[in-house]
Amino acid sequence: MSILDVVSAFLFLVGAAFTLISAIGLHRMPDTFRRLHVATKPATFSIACTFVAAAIQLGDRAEASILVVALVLQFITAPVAAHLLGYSVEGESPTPRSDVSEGEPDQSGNDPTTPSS
Amino acid sequence: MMENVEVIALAVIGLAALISSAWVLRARSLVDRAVGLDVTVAVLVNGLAVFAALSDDDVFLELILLTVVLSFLGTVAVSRFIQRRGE
Repeated sequence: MSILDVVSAFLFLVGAAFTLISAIGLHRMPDTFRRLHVATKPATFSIACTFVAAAIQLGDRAEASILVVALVLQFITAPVAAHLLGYSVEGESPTPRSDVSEGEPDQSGNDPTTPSS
Repeated sequence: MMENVEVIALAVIGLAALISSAWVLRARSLVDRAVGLDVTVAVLVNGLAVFAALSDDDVFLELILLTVVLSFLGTVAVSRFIQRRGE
């Protein structure tokens, strides 16, 4: 058992633990915006850990490059998707935070938490 | 040894898949449901990566790439739908 095996075993376990954390966080967070936080950051971190571990374990350049492409794609698309979902929250969060509810108006002059539709 | 670690990781990821699917069924609003689906797809991608390492098979890597792209497109479509629903 080489040192690479130890590293990839550790990364597999960390990735699985963060996946579990992000799934539990969906139930624990009081607010849609905090649920969006839990849907992006721990999930993306767990995907990064698992992909690096799988790339080490597969040990082939062609296979590892596909994983790198998928990882870069996930890093680009996860914040964009969360941003779009955040715009579609129509003031339904049960505990609005007073310091962000006033908010910066977006470029069309609307309050981002209540899209004029 | 490595197989044991991968099987343990798959078991934890399966538990996470059950928990996030329960959230998708339990969510009260459409945005919450979309967030839950996003997390469920992330859990699925994690499981696919672990399974690719466990089975040493190429097919799962292309499946991972497709799942990431389709999850992004689905989330964008759902959020545009929610934003334009009132028009």
